[in-house]
Amino acid sequence: MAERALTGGRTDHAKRVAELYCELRDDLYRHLVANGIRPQVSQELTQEAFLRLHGALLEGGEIANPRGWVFTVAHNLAVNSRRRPEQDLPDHIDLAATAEGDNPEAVLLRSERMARIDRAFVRLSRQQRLCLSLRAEGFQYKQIAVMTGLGVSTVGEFLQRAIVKLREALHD
Amino acid sequence: MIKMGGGHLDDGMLLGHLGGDLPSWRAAGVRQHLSGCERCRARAEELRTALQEFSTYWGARKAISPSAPAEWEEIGFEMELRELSQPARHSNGRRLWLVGIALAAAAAPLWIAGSRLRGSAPQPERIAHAAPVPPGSVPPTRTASPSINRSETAKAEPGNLQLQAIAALHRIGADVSEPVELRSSAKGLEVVATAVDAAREREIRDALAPLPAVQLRFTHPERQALALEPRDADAAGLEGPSIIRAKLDEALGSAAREEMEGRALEQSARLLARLHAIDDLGRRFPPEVRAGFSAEESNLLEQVRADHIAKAKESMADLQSIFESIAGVWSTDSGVPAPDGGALDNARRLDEAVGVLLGGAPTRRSPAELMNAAKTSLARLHRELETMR
Repeated sequence: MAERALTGGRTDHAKRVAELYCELRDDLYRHLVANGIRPQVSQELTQEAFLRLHGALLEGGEIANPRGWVFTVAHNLAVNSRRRPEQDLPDHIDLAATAEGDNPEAVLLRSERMARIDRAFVRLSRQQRLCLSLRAEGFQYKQIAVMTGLGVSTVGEFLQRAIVKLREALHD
Repeated sequence: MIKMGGGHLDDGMLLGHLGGDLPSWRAAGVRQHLSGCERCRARAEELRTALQEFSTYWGARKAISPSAPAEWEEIGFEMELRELSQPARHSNGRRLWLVGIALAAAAAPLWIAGSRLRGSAPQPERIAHAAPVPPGSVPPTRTASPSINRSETAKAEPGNLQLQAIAALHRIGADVSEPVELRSSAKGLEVVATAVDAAREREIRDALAPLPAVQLRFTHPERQALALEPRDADAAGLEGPSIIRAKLDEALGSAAREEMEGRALEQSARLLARLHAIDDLGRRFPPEVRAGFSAEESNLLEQVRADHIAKAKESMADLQSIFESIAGVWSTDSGVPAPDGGALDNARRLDEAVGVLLGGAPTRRSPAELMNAAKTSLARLHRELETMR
């Protein structure tokens, strides 16, 4: 559904947006929160993005990639809503509980690697974190460039620096 | 053109390749390189592993983030949507706001929402920064190479600020291949640097400090994406990159060929950047503007331009030596040479030849034809650079 182009009559729009809302809202909301945006703001951004999707459809727009569209709008709104960039600094998280498996040694190792990535991720610049997280969401350079307002080559550079830092953290 | 360092693919290129972000002609070149380079394959594997581990981490980070509040559904978001799809009934402020959002659509002034999010008064000046650009839309494209944008011709005024700013940026090399733009506005001259790192920002600030009338902005304000249109992306080469590369390997050996590839691609990019900078100076400061320059300003412009010309000559000389060393690999085509469109056009044609013959880009043109184009372009460039003042 999320990858299907959205077109159609006015009466269908609300239903389609509602379907998309159910399908994607948790994904988008968690993405924003995981990027360090406060839950209350993430909630408003998510709602706003879907309202705008509805508005765009009413205007006769065709949305080829609804998931990419709402992520883009939410990020654009986040840029505007941010009073100070440091507000978006994500917290360190304890991922030990997410490491599962039968082999305790492997679980420990995996847990340690996740912790290293977490420490490195939080130390990245806001733009690097953003590019990297959008990459992990499956968006391509061109899409990330549109979402972040950066040039495609800059997105590439941010991703490169971020990955190199993560790699260094894993091999320290 | 494939960016390489020391004959190897850089991390950016490898990451683009891993993510499927490269245009087909570049991807083909990267695949070709990887098939014969163990070091780059190993590096690609390291980067792939790091990306994979981050994806796992990101999934876990999202998973432990709190879910979207359940009450969203209870407060009736769907009802709001239904309201929006009905004819507007402006019975209260809230509904008016919602209808405003609905009608505003993609190009809406987002300060409406921004004000709600910020809990402050609308700030119309934020509109340009906030306009959503949905994926799939066609954003305006930038001029490809010049680092300083092609702004309007400089005004003929004493103490030309544009010239002084360009000269200041030139001293730290920020007028070539960097995202630094000069913009004239009602308030004067603005220098906008996009996505430069903190160290470079300090250098730019220091360089422009003696010019207090220049306004500085370090930001990411543009909702523009660079066009990544491949050149001849789907062309089936008459002789594919592998055949071209095999011939070079046979003639030079693979180590020398790799070293030469990296050098040629780098020098061609430098040459193009310098010629763009020279071209930009010509547009900004045409004769009628220069006529109003003081002797000092004329001298300053001449110095900047002469430096670009000297650097362009260095790059061209290296490219000449490279092409001389591969001249025996192909016979040159005696076809009709392309019309002479000036230094920049010749540098572009040369860059295309470098990209195909040494960078692994596919093309419909034969190596002999490209060798001829390179030879002609180099000769013309040599002549043009020698006569440049």
